[in-house]
Amino acid sequence: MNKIIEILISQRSCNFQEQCISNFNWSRKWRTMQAMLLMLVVTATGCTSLPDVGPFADATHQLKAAVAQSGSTVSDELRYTEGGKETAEQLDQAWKARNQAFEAIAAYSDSLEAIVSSGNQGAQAAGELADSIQEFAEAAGIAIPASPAAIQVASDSIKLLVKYIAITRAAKSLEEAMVKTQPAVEQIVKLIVEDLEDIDGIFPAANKLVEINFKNSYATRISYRKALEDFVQKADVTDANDAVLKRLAQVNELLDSTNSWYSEYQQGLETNQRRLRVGRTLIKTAQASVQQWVTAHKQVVNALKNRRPVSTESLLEAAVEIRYLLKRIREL
Amino acid sequence: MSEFNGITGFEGWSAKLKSLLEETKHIARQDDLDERLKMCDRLTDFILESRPDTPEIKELDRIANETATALLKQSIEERLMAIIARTGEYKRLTKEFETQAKENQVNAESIRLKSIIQTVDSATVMINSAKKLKDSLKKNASDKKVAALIDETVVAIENLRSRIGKLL
Repeated sequence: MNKIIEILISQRSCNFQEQCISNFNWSRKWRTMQAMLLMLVVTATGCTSLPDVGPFADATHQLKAAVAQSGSTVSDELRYTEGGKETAEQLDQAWKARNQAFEAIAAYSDSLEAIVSSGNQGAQAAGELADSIQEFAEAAGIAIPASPAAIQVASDSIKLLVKYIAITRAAKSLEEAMVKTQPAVEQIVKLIVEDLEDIDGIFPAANKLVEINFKNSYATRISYRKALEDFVQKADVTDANDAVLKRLAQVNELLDSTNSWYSEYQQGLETNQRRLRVGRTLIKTAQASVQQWVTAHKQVVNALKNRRPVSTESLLEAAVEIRYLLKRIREL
Repeated sequence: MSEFNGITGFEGWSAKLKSLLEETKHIARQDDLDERLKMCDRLTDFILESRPDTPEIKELDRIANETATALLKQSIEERLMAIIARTGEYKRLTKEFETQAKENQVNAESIRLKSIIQTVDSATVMINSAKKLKDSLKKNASDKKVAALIDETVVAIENLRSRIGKLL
């Protein structure tokens, strides 16, 4: 059979009948046809599988969520500031365009997945198609020469054919789409990186405004407590008389009485700091994820060009980290 | 040790605030957020440390607070303006992604159906040729005729191959 395939490939099948007909039975001829079909398709396509773009699509959705959450986290922080409502609304308005862009990017990544899925579904549909063709042949009374085994061979040929056509067309569509979109991907990444840098500046500034306002609300009490602390620290008890000791005890009592609000004050500062830490980590993670995302897009394009598998490990890690941070920030 | 240790009276606190405001002016001219945040911390510490809480000292606190707030609001405003300036570019790119996503969905549909239909058509040609082959064998089993019909089958398969070529 190998010899026949070689002849078919080299001579474009022209002398097929003279060389084969007297040497093979019908079943073997159908097998030869199947082998020929397979060879033709594989030779023409040079492709046997599609890259898994699922992790890329998943990372895109996570990135979309991280970008949206980064914007709303900063906007919320601005709302905490005195008179910050208007600035927050301006940011919300501007950030809408970012959210819409990442909606479109997510739809784009889903459409890449749809192409891959179509390619793979085409392979699955091949089985059903081959069965229906076999049924059609029987119903039409086409007694294909020789045995049912020969019909099965023909069926298998069609299955292979459909599978390779679907996969090859999907690979071609995927490559064309991703190559065409790569410049837009790079442009949008440049923009969002700059935006994330800017909100990474707005966020601590807004957080500091909240902190200043909070501290100011305690300023008089803090000043009072500091005066008490100064008194205790400066008090010399070595040769102190009863009056001084009594006064020191009273001051210590007064100091103790400030502990409840001072504890609230410290908790308030800690809450503010925690919000700052988690928010900035989210923004930083989004920045890093954007870079990984654009690299992943490029890797899929190269994988398609060079028929190499795609590495999605770093994307998956980034997606897990974003999920965790989104959960944390929503709990605050 | 705090930079506010040892300061007493309105004169002392007033002089300290003056020096802080000079530094703030310098820092406001540079776009270094960390420096601005540090300056705001110092101004806030001034408010918390300054005493006694006389109206004069409270006036100094008010100036310190307004300065810190203005410095932070300037930082926010500059960055917000930069964000707003980039918005138009996003709208253009959004359209590009939307168009490509639609095109990809159409291609996905096409891959799912067209290739199958085309293969059915080609397979039908194959089967018809095979049918002729069978009929011919009933009439005459000579090798020449069988060869001619197989040739026809091969032509059909060749057509199939060229159709695959067009798809690729």
